[in-house]
Amino acid sequence: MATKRQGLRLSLPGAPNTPHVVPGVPGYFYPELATPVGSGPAELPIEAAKELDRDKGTPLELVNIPAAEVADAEEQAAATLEAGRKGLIAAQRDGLVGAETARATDERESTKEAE
Amino acid sequence: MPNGYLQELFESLPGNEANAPTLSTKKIYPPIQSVALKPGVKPLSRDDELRNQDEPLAVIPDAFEPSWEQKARVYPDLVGWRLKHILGNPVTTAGDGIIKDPDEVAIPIGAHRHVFKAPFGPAGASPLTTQMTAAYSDQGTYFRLKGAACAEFSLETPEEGGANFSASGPGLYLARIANPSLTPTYEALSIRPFVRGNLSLEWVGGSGTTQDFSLSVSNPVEAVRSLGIASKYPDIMEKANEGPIVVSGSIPKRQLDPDDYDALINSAGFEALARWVGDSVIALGYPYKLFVEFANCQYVGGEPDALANQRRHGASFDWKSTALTTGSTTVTLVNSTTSYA
Repeated sequence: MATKRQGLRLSLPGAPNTPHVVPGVPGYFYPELATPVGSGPAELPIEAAKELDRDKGTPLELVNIPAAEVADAEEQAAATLEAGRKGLIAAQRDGLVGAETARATDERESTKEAE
Repeated sequence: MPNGYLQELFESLPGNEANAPTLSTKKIYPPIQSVALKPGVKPLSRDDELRNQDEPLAVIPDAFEPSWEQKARVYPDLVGWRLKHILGNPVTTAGDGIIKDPDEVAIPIGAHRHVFKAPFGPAGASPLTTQMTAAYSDQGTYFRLKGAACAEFSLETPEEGGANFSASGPGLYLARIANPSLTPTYEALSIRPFVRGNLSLEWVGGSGTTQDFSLSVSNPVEAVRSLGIASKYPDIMEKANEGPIVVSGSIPKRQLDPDDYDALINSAGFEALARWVGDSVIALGYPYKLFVEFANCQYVGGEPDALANQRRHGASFDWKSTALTTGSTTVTLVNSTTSYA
């Protein structure tokens, strides 16, 4: 049985339910299913997540993930990281221009495992 | 890493120096290639005054005419935002496996269909406007433009570099503000923009091979000072008296063809369709899509290339979407965005 978990959810109103990057924050975030935090090598430490939750300028909120959704959330987070890596490689292969270079840098950070 | 961002929200009414419109639920940090918020400074020069002084006199603040310009790739979420800005609110329907796109393909749950159909634009005297916050974070300088209307939108799909759009228009009030302390967020790069390889056209029957295709939307708007408030900035954004919202463009042809030329000379109307089918998938194998359908497209300008000692002669035509009755242009965007409200 899955244990109770917490996760960061994108709180940008009206954002499509697609993976989002927050510059400087490792990982990808959705407005619907939260990205698990606090355990596992690829997850953000809980204290860092709480700090992001407190920062009102950052569109991320710390929420409890219902037990029934934990497995889905973990699966989505892992799949998104892999898709992100592939997307980043594809974008770099196609060539980056101007501001895209900065976005790619952000995403490269997002796909690294949290310290 | 350079730091900076643009944040944009729709306004319930055009924002000016004095009012505080309700802002849209949806807010967006567009992954722009560039944005320029221009103050449009018009200082008062008094060099025409007789003061027995043979030097330029100091200018003083008089009037401001703010405007904006933006360039970005055609990302599925962002292009819907900009289309709403210039065309008005879409009719949004959630995919359910039953509703279909213009190709008669069922749209799955998770995808959303946004339809912009002519006649465009919101009812009333004013166009839709947005509030833009531009952060030059590395320079510690921040600006907010209120009452930004979209007067021009042009979409190109070059051979390389991805489909992109340029948009511009006037605004009502531009101010330098304190650091709003916002953190931008963007869709992941795995959500790709439309590219040349995604575009296909259905054009006039027998048309010559196409070299390129561009689409423009013009929305006549004007910022005016109604004297409703005491301000050096305009206070009202209105639809201008220069006609309706017009969808037009150009289509250079690699090969000159009699069917194109005859359509030009006869002002013949024809149904046409531009279709972008993206590389990223929304759900159940259904990709992001953008359709622009023309009920009565007409050539309104153009000419063959000059006859010369060359193996291939093309032609270039300007086209315009017109209406025999109503519904000249229908834009259908299918993406992951639930609502643009």
